[in-house]
Amino acid sequence: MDRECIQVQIKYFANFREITGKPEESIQFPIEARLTDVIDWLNKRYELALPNSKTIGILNGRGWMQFPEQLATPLREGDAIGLMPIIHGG
Amino acid sequence: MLEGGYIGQILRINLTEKSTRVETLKENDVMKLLGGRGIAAKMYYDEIGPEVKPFDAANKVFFMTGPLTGVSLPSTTKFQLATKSPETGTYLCSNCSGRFGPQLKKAGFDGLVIEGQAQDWTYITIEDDRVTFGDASKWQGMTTEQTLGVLREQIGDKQTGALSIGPAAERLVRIAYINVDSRAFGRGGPGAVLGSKKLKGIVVKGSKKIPVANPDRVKAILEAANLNLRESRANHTKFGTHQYIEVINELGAMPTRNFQTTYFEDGAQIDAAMMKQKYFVKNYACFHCPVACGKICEVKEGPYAGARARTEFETIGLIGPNCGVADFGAIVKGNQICDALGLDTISAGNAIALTMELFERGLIKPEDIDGIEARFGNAQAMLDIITLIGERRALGELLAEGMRGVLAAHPEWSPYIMQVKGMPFASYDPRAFYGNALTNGTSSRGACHNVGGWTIRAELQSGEYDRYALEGKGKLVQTIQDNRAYVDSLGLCTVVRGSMGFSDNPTGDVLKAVTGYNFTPELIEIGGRIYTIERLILNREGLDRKDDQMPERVMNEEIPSGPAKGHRISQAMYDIMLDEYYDVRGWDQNGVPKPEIIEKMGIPEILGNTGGAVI
Repeated sequence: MDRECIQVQIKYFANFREITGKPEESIQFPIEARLTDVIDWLNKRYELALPNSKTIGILNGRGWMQFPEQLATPLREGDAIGLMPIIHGG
Repeated sequence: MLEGGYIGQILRINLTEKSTRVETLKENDVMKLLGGRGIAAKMYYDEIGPEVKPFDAANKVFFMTGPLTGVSLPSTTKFQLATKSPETGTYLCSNCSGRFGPQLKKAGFDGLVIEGQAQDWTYITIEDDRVTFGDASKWQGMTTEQTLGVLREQIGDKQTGALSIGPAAERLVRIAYINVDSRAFGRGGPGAVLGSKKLKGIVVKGSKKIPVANPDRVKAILEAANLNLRESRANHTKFGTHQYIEVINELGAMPTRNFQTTYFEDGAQIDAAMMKQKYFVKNYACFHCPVACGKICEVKEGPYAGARARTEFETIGLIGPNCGVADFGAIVKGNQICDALGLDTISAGNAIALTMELFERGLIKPEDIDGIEARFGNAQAMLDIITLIGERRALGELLAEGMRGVLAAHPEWSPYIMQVKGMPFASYDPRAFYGNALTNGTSSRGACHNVGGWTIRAELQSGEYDRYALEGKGKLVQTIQDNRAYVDSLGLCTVVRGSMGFSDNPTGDVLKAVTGYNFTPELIEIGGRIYTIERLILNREGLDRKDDQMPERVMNEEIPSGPAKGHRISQAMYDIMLDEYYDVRGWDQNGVPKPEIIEKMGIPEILGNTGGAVI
């Protein structure tokens, strides 16, 4: 692995799996990357408009907005990001 | 009475006397409780004392519509039920869609109360104000769907509203549901109450028009809401609640092998993609609903070929991963068997999973369960145990008594039983979302993800509530519970409520357009009033803090694997949330509403049979 980069796992659920055509992928980002950098990449790569009220974005099992630095949260090697549709109860 | 939304009458049918009576819907009740769940709870409070047992003739079933039921707006099919639950032995509220509620209103009634006990198996027809009693003895043993069919034949309309019970309810299985136009009053065993009354079903057809105060405005709201829903609920239209399978599993909240862990390794075999690829037949929509979240599935090959059912998230979770079953075809088959017998799939899934754990631990033997090799992952065993319960055979005789009955007979099995107030859990493990523990603990009807306040989204999406935090969960749960209580009183499906402004902070003029009165600013207050009345019922029946507790597995066992590994909710942790919840509700530390909050909510003027019991 490039010493200046980190590897981030991105998982796609439900409609996001359809949009991206894959259940997950592993992407390299610069070592100083923050959550917002991944969001920018996703928006550009898949023509998304994240964040938005119709999507739940998670980082290592917690909501993006639940971290103290929210979208500016620094990323680390092996972090797992997930995109899922908003859910309403079963 | 208001200008629209309500008819102004409640029909009472007494099965003992084969008599009927029509009474007036009180305007004060409507203004304070809206309808649906609110008024049904008030009627229960007034008429069902703590001494009444679920199968007594004195127990009643209160069916109550809301002001939006049957009105030309999206998914206004909902109506509500209250009765004493055979499964929990206490108050039960339940919510259902279908055509029955709208047809009842068109027949001229906001509500229907079933009283007494028939001597022989009976069915009822309601055509406007004409009520007849028929002999249903020849229908004994019919499935719920067959019964709906013959009921509709009695009045020559295949499309009208009908409700029925199946063979399980005839046998007083305490987890038996009521099938309403192929939807369900699912939880708590209300089917068994009708079974105890020897009432096989009811069919209703109305010809009247439901009045609305401002038809032009209602039409405009309908068009706007439909537009909103087609876009905002597109994923529901495409995947239904199946889309939650991989999400909840990935979040580590999926009950797996009787809640022993919370991540199912074969989730991809049963998720929305698998459903769409191999089993999907067509969508199903409720009356006036553009979302059509129902997914009719059929097994096309293999041992369960030909099985057909409308699967959804809770059923899949509880007879799938919770039983270790990764075969979607078997899940469709299990759903179909539950429907035929008339069994709640959530409680059935819990009972099967318990059986499997007991079997694997050597606490029961094959001879206890008709020779079934009840191991997790054995799909055929899952199917066979459903039948044992529905037919009350072998261990099924005990499982048919619900978890309260199981615990009474085998208190030593308590570590393996996931229940609150006798109601088993739906398909979310509370250890993965701490607020969800409070949801289940304080729900008015025992463990329930809906009545108790569904917190999952807020615990993921809001910056205020981390899923593993304790602080703030009391207020969160109270807010969602009160929201749900007023929505359940409107006659509207929770999936579409956002399109018409029915949120935690209600907006819009739907109720003004329908009824002529602007209820919107009062809705949350009304929801809180309803929840408090329900709590007073529970208190009167002897339930308080001791009954709001988590099962042993949640408190004592850390989740052993998966994304939520290591989490549990100890007694001390739970108490932090419960204390805060009681505090924000204005209840004392034993979970009893304080006199000042009862007064502030105006409850003594609403309840007709207080007898000094409220305050």
